[in-house]
Amino acid sequence: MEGRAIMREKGDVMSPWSLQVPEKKISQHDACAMYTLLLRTRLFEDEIYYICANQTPQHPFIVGKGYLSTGQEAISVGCAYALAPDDWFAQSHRDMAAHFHRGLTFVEALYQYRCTTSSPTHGRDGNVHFAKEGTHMVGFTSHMGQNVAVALGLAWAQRYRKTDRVALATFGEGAAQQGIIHESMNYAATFQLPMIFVINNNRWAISVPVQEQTSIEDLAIRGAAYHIPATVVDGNDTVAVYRAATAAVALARAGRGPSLIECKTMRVMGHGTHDPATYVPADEKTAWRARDPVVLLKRVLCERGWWSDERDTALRAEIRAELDTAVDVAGNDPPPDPRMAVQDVFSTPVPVE
Amino acid sequence: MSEMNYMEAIRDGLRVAMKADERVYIFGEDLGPYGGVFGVTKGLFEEFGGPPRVRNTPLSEGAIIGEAIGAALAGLRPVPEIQFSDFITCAMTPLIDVMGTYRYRFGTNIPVTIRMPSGGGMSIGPFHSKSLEAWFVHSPGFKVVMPSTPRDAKGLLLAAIEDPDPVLYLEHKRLYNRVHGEVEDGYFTVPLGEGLVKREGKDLTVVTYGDMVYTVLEAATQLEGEGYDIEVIDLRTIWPYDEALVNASIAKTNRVIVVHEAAKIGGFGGEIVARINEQCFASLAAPPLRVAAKHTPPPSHPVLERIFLPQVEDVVAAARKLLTEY
Amino acid sequence: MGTFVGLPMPQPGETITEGTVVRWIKEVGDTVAEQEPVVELETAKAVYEYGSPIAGTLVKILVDAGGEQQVGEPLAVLECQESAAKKYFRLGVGIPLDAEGRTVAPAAPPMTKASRATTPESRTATTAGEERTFLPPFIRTLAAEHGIGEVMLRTIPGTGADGRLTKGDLLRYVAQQRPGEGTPAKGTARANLPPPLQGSQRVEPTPLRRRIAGNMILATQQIPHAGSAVDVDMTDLLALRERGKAGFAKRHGANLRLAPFFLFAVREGLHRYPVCNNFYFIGADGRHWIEEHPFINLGMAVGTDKGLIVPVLKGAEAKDFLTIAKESDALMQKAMAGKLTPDELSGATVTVNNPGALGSIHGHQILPYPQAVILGFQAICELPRYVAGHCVPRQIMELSISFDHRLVDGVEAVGLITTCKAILEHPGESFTEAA
Repeated sequence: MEGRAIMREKGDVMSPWSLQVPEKKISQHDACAMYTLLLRTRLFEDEIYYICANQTPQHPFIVGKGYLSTGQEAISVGCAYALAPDDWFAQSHRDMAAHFHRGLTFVEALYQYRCTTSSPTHGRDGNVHFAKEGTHMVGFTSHMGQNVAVALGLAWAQRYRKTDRVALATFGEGAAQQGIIHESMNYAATFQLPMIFVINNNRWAISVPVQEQTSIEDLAIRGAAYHIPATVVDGNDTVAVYRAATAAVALARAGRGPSLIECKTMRVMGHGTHDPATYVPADEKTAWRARDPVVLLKRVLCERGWWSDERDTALRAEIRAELDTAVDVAGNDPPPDPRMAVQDVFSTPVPVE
Repeated sequence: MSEMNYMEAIRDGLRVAMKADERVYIFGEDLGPYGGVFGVTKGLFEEFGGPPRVRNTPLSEGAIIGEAIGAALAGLRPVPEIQFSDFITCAMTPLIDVMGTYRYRFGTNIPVTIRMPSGGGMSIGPFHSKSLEAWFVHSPGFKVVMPSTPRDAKGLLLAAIEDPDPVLYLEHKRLYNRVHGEVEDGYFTVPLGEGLVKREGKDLTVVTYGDMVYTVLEAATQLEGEGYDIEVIDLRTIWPYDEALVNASIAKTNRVIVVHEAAKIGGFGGEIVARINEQCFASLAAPPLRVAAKHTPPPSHPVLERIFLPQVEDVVAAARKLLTEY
Repeated sequence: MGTFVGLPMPQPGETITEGTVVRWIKEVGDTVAEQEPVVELETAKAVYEYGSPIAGTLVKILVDAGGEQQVGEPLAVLECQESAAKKYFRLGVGIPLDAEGRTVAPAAPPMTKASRATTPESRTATTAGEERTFLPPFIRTLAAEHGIGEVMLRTIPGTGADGRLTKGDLLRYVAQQRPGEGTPAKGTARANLPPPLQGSQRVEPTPLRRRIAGNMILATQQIPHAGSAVDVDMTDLLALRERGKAGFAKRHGANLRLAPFFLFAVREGLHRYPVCNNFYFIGADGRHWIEEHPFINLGMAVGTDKGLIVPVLKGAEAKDFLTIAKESDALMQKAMAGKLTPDELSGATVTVNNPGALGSIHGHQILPYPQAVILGFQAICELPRYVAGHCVPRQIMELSISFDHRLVDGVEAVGLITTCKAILEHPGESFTEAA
């Protein structure tokens, strides 16, 4: 099934507020790097899924559940590649690719999922709730959409300091129904903040389908209401996301304010690893699985002669081996020191009881 | 030293902080050329050339607090104003769940000072008169201050802005033009977490803060006429409060009352009293008492608000009870 | 040969705790690939074919069709490659079992047991009135700072509401107890001392002397004393002791003093008149209380070069003569050596005085507050007595008693000493161990 059959033609409802996305040549190097990141994210999260689905409650390897970007990795990959390392990425919960792109290792990610002593949050928070120090990412809070408001300040700080850095914030179509998103879009436009709003529209807020969340087909049309140029892209097309994000970043760097990109995708898995998502019609899952971003990008790369099945098999084996090692290393990390429970709320000693 | 009122002291504190540190900036609703609805920031917009140092915002408290978090993460020292502390409810998620938990979860400091005009007694009704400090103390991650004098207003503001953690700076709007005093010129701080004995006494300790300091001092004067010697402690920092000062005073007087204008039920006074019981039980001659507001929305008409808020006679009555019945 | 791995019952949802095997898709001997359906399960949520997370050969089915299993407990045993098995164990996906499905390794490091809840230490016996009279916490603290114990604290009259003791009352009391220290009560003139006799000097008493003085004043002020006495013919007992002395020392390594005979006799008497073992209190609020003791602790007044010391023989209610003899001997030796512990010096319910050791033949004792009786064993004198109509020399001792007449009447007080008399005058019945 073609993507267009699922999505509407881009831009047709948004004129005159469309974000202009110029055709941009992608180098072999960039394309292969994006594919590698896509695949690393996929295999890592497949491992998380396998562990979460099968670990016994008696001897769990991971604390809690996994919240995966499987089938939606293209959005995080495309956005991450459009940014410079010192641009801010205010991520959502399906952005493991961006973490990897900015230097997170498999071992660190597993520490975080295991909540052990070496985890970035010292066991105080789990799974996707973290930001590795120095990566210009923002720790994630479960209240959907909050990091978008945080990104306002990250963007404002660039204005304040007269830099050309930008802040990109991702959020789901579920979060898009929060008041804070509307406040933030209006606020960013009012102050012409160097900011990119990226909606990961994966069609399901846990069990509530998008048509029960909003009456509009394209969330991107909201940009018009706030005078924010916007566009709709195929969220499973890594290159399309990358191109749109690159265009939005360029606008922001040029001091021309925020943009909005709606990435149409599909949550082919459950909300979390505990959720079999039996409420999603089987044919909807099947249709989107056929449009797996890993498969799509690989096909493009192979067509251009930049990639081959042999290279693919080798890369998978390499990632697989790295993962196995990471599991062994992370498995030996001890649980957090109980004393960590009562430290670090403040910089100065303040009673906790 | 200069003589100034409470509002001028806050304004001077903001001015001094912004001059001392280019990372410090102020923003909020009506805070720009208008100078804030109470006039606290009057003149600062012109003095600092408007944005980025002084900036108006839309009516978007959630975005204001979100901006503050992001700006702090990016290395600035934001000092947002929430026009009335009552309106912070519009921003509770970014405040409580993002800002308050951030350092604990992710190890990064969030040096934000949020100014919030707080408190009642001005006949401005249910949504412009609240005292919400108990919420903020109850939520981990915030230092909470409420100055009662111009000197403390400036010194605590500068200490708050200097502090690496989120500080909720509750300024009592009724004191803006009502109290005057000598304030050091230039940069100085009143350390967070230090209370002040406003009046020494040996018979009874009254712990309070904010506008209630004046109510309590008046009650103490009245009780002095009856032969009682009241010690009055102004906490200045509500959390973490100066427990050593409070406990030492109780060791001397053996009796204590906590007075605040937030609701008594579920109020922070309950926490102070509980901690006193835990730590000073063997020094107590009598049960610690609380004098605080009624558990109702703050009413508008002064006749009703008088009932709502603790009055001098309420403090005197509680003191007499402790001094005569035990 | 590979490694055996238990296939656990999965948890297809956080609220699922158990499941039922509908049917086995694979049979024993079949090879199972990862994610290949191996068993059909039914849980509270659904019936579904379960894809095995474990690749290997099915070697044993542990739960047959229709059987139930708890989440995380094994359904079957698979034989796997060793490297794969290691990973399954690491990730908590597989359970280490043997081919028969028996646990081979500890399923988990032994859980740190929550420390056993300890039984709260049984409360020590409280003095009367402790829970009965309101003593504010700070008063207790202040009293402790001035070395005033609970018992004495209750005797200080209160001037507060409902007769409660105030800080002022306590500080006044402290000042009275220690002239020259503390603040005297307003309007109360300080005790006006007469000038010292010419050529004399006044020195502060030792703390021990001062405490004794305080206790004596307290007892005489609070307790209405009454007294009685009987003569005890000690002739037979002395003869018995004389005969047994050497052998006793040899057998038990302790001196056979007279004291254990007295202590034993008093203990017997107290069993018969237990009211003598109680205390009587009147609280500051005017309420009266009787404190009853489930034990008998006998204070033994001993004169030492440092003053009067009263070591306490605890738990005397159930001790035989031999134990009493040994323990009292040890306590007295420690008293002489000044080596008694505070515990050995407190908690007496009745005091046994032995002024006869000093030569006293007749006496009147002050009760150690708040005890209800004190017994005095006087010196034994050879006196003429009629025995079976003949005047003969006998060894006679006065046994006197002072008692708190609020609690104890003559019937009990005299009953107590006549019981002692009977025991001491017929030593052959009670003291076979000494013979």
